[in-house]
Amino acid sequence: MQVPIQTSKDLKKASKEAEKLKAPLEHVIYLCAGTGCRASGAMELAEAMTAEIEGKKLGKKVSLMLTGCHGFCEKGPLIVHHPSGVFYQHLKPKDVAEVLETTLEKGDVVERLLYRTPTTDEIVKLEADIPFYKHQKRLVFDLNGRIDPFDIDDYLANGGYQALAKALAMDPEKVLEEVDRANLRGRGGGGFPAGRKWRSCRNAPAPDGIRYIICNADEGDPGAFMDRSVIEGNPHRVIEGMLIGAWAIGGTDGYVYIRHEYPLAVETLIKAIEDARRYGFLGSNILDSGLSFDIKINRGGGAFVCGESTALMASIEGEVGEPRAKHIHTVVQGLYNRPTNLNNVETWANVPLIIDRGAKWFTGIGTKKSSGTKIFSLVGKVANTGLVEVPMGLTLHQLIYDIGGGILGGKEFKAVQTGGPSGGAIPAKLLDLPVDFDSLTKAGSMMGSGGAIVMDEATCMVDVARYFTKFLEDESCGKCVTCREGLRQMGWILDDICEGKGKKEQLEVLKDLGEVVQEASLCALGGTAANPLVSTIKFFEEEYEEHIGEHVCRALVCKELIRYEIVDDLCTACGICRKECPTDAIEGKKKTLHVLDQDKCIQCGVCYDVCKYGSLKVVSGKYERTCEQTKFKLKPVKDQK
Amino acid sequence: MMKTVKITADGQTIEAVLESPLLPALQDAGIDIPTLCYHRAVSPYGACRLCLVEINQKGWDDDWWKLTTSCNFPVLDGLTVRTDSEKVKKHRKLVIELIMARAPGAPQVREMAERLGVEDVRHRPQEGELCILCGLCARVCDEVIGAQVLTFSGRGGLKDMGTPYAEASEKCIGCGACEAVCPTGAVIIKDEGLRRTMVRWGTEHEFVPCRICGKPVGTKKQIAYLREKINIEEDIFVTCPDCKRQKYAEQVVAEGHL
Repeated sequence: MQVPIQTSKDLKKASKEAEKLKAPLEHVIYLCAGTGCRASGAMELAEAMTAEIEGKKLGKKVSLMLTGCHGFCEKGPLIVHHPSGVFYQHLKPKDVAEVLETTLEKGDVVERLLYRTPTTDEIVKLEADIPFYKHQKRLVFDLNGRIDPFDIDDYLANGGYQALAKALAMDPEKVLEEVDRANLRGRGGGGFPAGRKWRSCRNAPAPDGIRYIICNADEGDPGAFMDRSVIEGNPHRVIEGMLIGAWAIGGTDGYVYIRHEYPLAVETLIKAIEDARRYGFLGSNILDSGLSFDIKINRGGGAFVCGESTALMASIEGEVGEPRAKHIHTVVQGLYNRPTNLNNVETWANVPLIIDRGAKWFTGIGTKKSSGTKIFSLVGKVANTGLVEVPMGLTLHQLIYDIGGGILGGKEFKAVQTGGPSGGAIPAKLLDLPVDFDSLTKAGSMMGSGGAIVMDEATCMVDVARYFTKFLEDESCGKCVTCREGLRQMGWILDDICEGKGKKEQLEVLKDLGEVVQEASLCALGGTAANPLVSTIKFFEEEYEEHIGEHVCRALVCKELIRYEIVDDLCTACGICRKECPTDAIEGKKKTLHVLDQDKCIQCGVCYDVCKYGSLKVVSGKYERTCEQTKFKLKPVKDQK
Repeated sequence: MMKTVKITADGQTIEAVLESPLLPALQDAGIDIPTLCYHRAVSPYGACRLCLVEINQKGWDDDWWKLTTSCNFPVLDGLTVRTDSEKVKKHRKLVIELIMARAPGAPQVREMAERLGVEDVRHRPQEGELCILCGLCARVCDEVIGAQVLTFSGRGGLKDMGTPYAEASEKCIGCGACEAVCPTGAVIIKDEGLRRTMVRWGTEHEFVPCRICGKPVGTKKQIAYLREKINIEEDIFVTCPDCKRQKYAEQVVAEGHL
């Protein structure tokens, strides 16, 4: 490959060359080497796979490709076989020989390693047929799991940087119009139209000619990792998006603000930026267009608030990551007081697709006001958890049941928290709500960056509000009174309520606090920080009232309001609970009913978890739940002789 | 050239400098705006949230009002401001209630609460705390004095104001500007004879005595710092204001001007 690539004509040639170079062998094993799969042993699997391919001299027939995240992290380590499309999950190095022999040589499958639908136990052979993937529309994620993120040629072979060439041949104004027409809205939280933002930035005076283009990769929501996966799986798509943005806006300098806690994403990005420079996609006079643009990486120190654009910019400048009032927008005066256009990872990754396939195609996906797809991090009490990309407007029901496979363990759905910690809990009655920017905001939650935490009947909504409120209290920059003191007081009251010390008047105080934190805080973190509290009060006020008035937690979660009891009829005196109890609260011996001393019990729930005979229950007022009976070896004490 | 524009506040037309902070413009027009963290000598920060007003900008729907702090909101042409609406009053009350819980011992905060009509505080008080984290001390130290001794540390509930790493700072000149601007009496300075102790920041200073009467004039570091900035005769710095006045009066009499 002749690099740097100097013109778009050269790019065409280079792409053809890359296509040839990267033409798949007869078999390709796509092995997910994203962070999640690495944590469950993907690299050991890759080693074993390489050794087996070499050992059996299969090198001419099979290639192993380490890709970025496939999204189905809980099934890792996982592989997909090309061309058959067979999907294997939870692989171990010892499975490698069998998998390769059966799949490649015999054309058969290893059944025990295939996906099973959790609710029906049905076996699914092909990746495309797994419900988790079947209902997705993977556009941003299209190449995730199909290319080697460390290899720029792989991206080129798959049409990479073609959208950039196309954009550079267009007038910047036309590029801007296309993004405007596509109605691309910011995927980072607010859903602000990217086209409008770009235009404001372009029109803002830049006395020294410098305009900044920033990619916000400071993904701080607990449980959300779509931005990390996009960068780990397809970093050049993000770089290409930023380049197109720079062309349209007149940007000169780029920054990616990325979490330091994302080592693999940082490593991938560093390599991608170096390669892009070497190939001539970053630097001066890119593809002979006159565009000069380069990207620097800035690693964040882990503060959630630095995902807020003004705090992020302060952090890049080396200042404390505190937001400032945005009466003068960052597009006019942002980083170093220069015009700055900031979008998040997923937004930038959509840009090449829009330029490549056109605004009309893009607006054909999703809803009228929310075009395109959105990646969700579907987690919590659903059968299938992971990253899913769906067209906007899909209902929450489809997201949770069709893709997520429903609630685990046959329990009842209670709520879904969308939008991360500053989102809101949406109850069952709103499950038919379409997932788009405006519907979620209307329901008192938000799209946010796309977290979707599913909760079942065993989740206490007061406890949930407490958890998120405390998270936000810790992560508040502490600059303004409402956010810092308001959240702290809220947290204390929620502590009281969860501990059964709540008073009726406190509910009114909570409502007041919710209002003042939302209305009078300085930045968006504060403005949305009361959402978990306000939405849980709005939809689940009866749970608050039960906690306060009856000292009852219907979800059987709040320790001070529950007690554990032994179900005498079923106790087999197996002794496991007695052995495991950390406070020796359970007394009993062989063939004797076990007794739980409430004074010694600390409600840790170990007895409940270890009992296999269904003889422990947890009680709060009229609510109770008994542990499952999964063992039948022993008879209950009452039937023992 | 500073451009003046017209804004309307509570029905009153006010002329003010375009893009200057709204809060002093309102105050200059005689409108009472409560604040604890704003001071004209330094840049606005927006921490205490008491100076809330409702605004309606040119081009907005007539019935669309936005709640915002006035200290860090710019004067804009045709801006309409409500400083006395029910919403403003309600939220100021809720805010001062939170500040009261933060610094229950500060008389200035109690006075402000009274002024805003808050009697009972429904929140858990943080006994013994005086600092409301408004940051005025750090702003004055940085922007006016230029010593840059103070800074915030931590975040959320752990946020604190002090010297870096909570160690006595060599850069502190003991000028006491931090104490002068502190709205709640949280910056405590003890002066005994020719010794000054910055209690909150942990620094000790030695006063230079007045060359005439021996009373403290300024700290050694402060005088050295000032002399570096303004190159005038040392006498000026080592004479206390009283003696300076007396000396000048004697001079005037001696020279027969009277």
